Amino acid sequence: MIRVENLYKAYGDIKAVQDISFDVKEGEIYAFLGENGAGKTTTINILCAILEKDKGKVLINKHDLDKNSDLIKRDIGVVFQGAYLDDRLTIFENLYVRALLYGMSTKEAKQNIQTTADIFDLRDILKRKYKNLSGGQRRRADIARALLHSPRILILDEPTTGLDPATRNMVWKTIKRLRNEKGMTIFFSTHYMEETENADRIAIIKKGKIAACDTPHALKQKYSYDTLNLYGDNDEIKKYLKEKEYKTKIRKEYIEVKLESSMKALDVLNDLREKVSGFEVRKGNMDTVFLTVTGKDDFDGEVKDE
Amino acid sequence: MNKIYALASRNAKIFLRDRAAVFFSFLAVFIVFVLYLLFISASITSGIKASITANGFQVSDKLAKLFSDSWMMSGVMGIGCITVANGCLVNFVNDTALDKRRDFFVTPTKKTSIILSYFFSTILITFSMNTVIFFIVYIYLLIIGMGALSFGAIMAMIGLILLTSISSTMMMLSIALFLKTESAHGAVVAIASVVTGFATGAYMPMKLFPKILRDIFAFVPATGSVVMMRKIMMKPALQAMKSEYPAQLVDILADEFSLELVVGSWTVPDWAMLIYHVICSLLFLGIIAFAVKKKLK
Ligand SMILES: Nc1ncnc2c1ncn2[C@@H]1O[C@H](COP(=O)(O)OP(=O)(O)OP(=O)(O)O)[C@@H](O)[C@H]1O
Ligand SMILES: [Mg+2]
Repeated sequence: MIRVENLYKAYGDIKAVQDISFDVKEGEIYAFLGENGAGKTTTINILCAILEKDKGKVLINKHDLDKNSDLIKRDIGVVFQGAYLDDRLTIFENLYVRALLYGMSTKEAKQNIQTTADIFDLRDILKRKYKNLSGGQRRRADIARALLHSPRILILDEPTTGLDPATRNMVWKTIKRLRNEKGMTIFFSTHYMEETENADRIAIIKKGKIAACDTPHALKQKYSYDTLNLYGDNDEIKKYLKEKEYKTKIRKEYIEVKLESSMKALDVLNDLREKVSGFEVRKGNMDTVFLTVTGKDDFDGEVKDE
Repeated sequence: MNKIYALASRNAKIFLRDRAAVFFSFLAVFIVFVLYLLFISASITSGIKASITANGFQVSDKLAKLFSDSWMMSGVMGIGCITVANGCLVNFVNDTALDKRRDFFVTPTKKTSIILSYFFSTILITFSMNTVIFFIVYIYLLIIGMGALSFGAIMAMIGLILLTSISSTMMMLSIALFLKTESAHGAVVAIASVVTGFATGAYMPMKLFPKILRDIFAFVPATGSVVMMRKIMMKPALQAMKSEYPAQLVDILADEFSLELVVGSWTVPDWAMLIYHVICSLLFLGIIAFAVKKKLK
């Protein structure tokens, strides 16, 4: 559905995107995970044709971005990172202008606004000015705006940043429903690890490059590890761990030990039974994947406590 | 076309719902109006009386004031066209600064249509607000004793207001396209209003400027339209004078108040001013088209 090949974009000296390639299948939920400044927004802006790329090829629903950007614009709905609806207009007015820009008749426009307003529970606040809405209501309006023209692909740039957990859940429920009921393809960026659990596939980007790309399960298999946290008399524990060549991170309250598998914890605990005062075993998750992939898991004894 | 209409009404709503913005675009006109009535009117009126007396005639206060006021009010109209257009275009610059237009660029809508929408909303608002200003001014002049304008004259005035609204919008939009912040726009607006005010003789008769400056001011597009408006607005006052004094004296007065636009030694006829206006508008349109093609996001 979305195919990007060797995409490059620089702002002057800043190389925001360097040789990114990926492929999103129809009906897939695809996550773009990266820290601030990784190049997520830049990539998304290129996909929705508001930013010109330096190099590379973009195909969306088989249309080439260079030749048929108008067709692409009909196929995609975009939720931007910031707020771009007009403060002084009501939700209805905002949606109405945009609906007409997609070439709808006034009747179609009104119908589509009602339908999307129902999905996002906006019916009662359609007549309220955008500036008077809460953050969550605005976000719902933003997403409703992206869906006005029933696009086949929904692109969201950090859709849930700044929302409370309940609203975040609601947004995700809706996104999943769109995929399940309408077969919509979803492409979203985020810097919340836990949010990527919603995705079928995840691309982790780092400094404008894709550092890893796979299903959440495969990524965990490959990059994640379990850890054992040991509390208690430090020096002897340290000595033991060093002898056995475990990778450790020394924290204020405990020592974090990187394990090949969680069963290994049994060996360590058996040997140190007398010396530790407490312990916990942690399953690896997307956080550990992210830290490994972006090279931030600085295991090796150094005190790196916050 | 539907799309341009949708966007233009969006722009207009955004402007009209900002009461302060609407108020301030009227304010410039209002200030000139009040300053004139309080301070400038008296000195110009006595200037008129002095010239007439110097030629051995007497003139009533009322007639001198009518002459002065109707001369002044046309200048007010010229300022109105610039300030109201700029007031509307603040939203254009604001949309640039906040990158609001990206939400339109992701729809299958041409860049040109998006820019044209600002163009239409600005022209429409500038034209209607200045038409309102015109009727307020007209009623004021009727009250102080001006003879009524003919229907044709009123139509000509409205036509000139439309023309001036179009050219001011084109000129100011072609500048606004290159601005990134509201403060830069604010500075440009201030300069444009002051230059227009002096060039059209709204602040003081052009005769008071050195000849070279007057010749330069003649090229400010609004100057021509204010001169044409002035001829229409002053017709009743001039007629009243002509019935009382020799034509020669009236001509002296008309010259003193620069009722005609003179470049070098050429008295520019109306058709030439109209053509110049159209040429300027096309030139600005060219700049707009160039900017839209070249850079604009
Ligand atoms: N208009 C611009 N001009 C210059 N540099 C820019 C511009 N936009 C982005 N950058 C730079 O490009 C890099 C990538 O930015 P981008 O906005 O794509 O990051 P991001 O992954 O979306 O980050 P965030 O999570 O903060 O939104 C950053 O270093 C940023 O400073
Ligand atoms: Mg971003």
